[in-house]
Amino acid sequence: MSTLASDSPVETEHSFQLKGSLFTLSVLQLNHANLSLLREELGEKVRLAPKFFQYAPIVLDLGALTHYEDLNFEAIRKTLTEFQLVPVGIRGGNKKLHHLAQEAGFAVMLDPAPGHIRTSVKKDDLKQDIQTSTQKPELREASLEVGSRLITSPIRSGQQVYAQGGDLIIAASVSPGAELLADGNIHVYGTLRGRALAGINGNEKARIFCYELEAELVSIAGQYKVFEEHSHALPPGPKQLFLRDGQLIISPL
Amino acid sequence: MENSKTKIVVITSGKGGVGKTTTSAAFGTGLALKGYKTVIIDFDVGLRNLDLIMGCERRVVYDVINVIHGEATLTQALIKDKRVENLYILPASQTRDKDALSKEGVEKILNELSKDFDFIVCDSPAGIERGALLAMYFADEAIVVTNPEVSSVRDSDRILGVLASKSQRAEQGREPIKEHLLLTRYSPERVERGDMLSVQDVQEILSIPLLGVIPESKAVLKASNSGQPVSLDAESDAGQAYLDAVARFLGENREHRFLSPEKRGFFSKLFGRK
Repeated sequence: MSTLASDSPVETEHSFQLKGSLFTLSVLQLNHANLSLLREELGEKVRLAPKFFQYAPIVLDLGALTHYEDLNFEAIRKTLTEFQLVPVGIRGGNKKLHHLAQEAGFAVMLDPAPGHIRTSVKKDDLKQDIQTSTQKPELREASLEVGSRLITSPIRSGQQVYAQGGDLIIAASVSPGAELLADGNIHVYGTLRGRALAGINGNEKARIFCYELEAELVSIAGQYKVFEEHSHALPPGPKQLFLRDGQLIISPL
Repeated sequence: MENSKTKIVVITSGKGGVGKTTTSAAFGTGLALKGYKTVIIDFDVGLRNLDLIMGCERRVVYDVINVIHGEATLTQALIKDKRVENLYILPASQTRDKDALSKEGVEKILNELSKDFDFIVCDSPAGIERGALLAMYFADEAIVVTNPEVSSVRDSDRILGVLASKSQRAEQGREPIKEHLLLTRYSPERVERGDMLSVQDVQEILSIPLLGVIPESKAVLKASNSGQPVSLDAESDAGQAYLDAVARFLGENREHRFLSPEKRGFFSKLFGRK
């Protein structure tokens, strides 16, 4: 699990602070809306392993129910809660189901896959409601899509950038103390200092590319390497990092 | 700020003790010497130093907090420099602390000052908390004071990140604050020996345009102890370097001096001049 936290705001006299965070959640895909059958099967699972669910937060995937116009979300919630599942939101389905789900207190989770149409909160709405919050885009970016991100200014110490659902491309250098995160690959057309974590959701095929490698820490799908001294042993020049048989390989480009 | 003519320049660094107040005093004085009506504001509430460096500590009646709280007008708080025409100082409070500053209060003061002044120089305190954030919030340009030393460079880098994201310009999506690097306490001899980071080393990490290099100089201590901005000591290397930096800031093309170790002749070695 990784968390992405933004900087704290200037004013400290408010009763709450809004921050961005990242959590990995399990998804329960509903294949039909027959609640009694669902209850039976969930009961079976719990009988075999009583502590299986343990109040796990889950997202309901309604991908198989897109032709449904109506679902009793209250009843679904009651059923799930019976078996110690904590439904926090839904994804997939259609607009009508989303509306019903929201009325029943479910959040509609934004699907990070690129190209997916956002059916709920748009970025402008967020801007309006949360004027002084920390969810404002911190860096000047060339594009604001969810998916791959391209940034052309240097990433400064203390800054953290996350490319959710895509690659992260930095056409500048990355300072020590900065942190780059991506579900996909990370490309740094400059010197990579600081930390770079690619494939953070488990994508073992993710790679890290850079013009110069002077990083403090690199990681691909959780396999990480800390560079205790300056990489004197490595010759200068462009490098790529990838996983081979679970090992983190550094190879000149 | 409303008035596009007035420029608000913040002198910041992140790291403490690198020369922000020395620079604010020297830079502000340099601008005034060039004929621009300039005010230097001390944002270091509770630990004020600007008045000492400018030699007007005995003339402080009201300060910036008094003005924000409506206890005094700007005219009452502003101190006119006795040596240089066009130069004014707005001191910080020594008895209150940083919580007395507010964004609205600062905005009000800057708006009023913009009516009369060409340049508003904001002397930021160290750190990235309230005082520093408010000093930079309304800035149009920033001079990032850095010592050629790793922790100063790291802190300056951090401050650059904050400048790019926490200023009014950033929040309103306007042209970003123009950043300038001012390297202070530079010793070419130590750089040559490999004991100190070079200009290139620092620029490689910070990647912002170099405004000037101020050499390590005894003149700075002398100046602050006598309450005189070092740029008034036109004979000293530091003084000249600051005046060069001001000229560059105003658009002049001046070569960087004091970058190579001094070739000391026989006589200067004999008499030990600096």
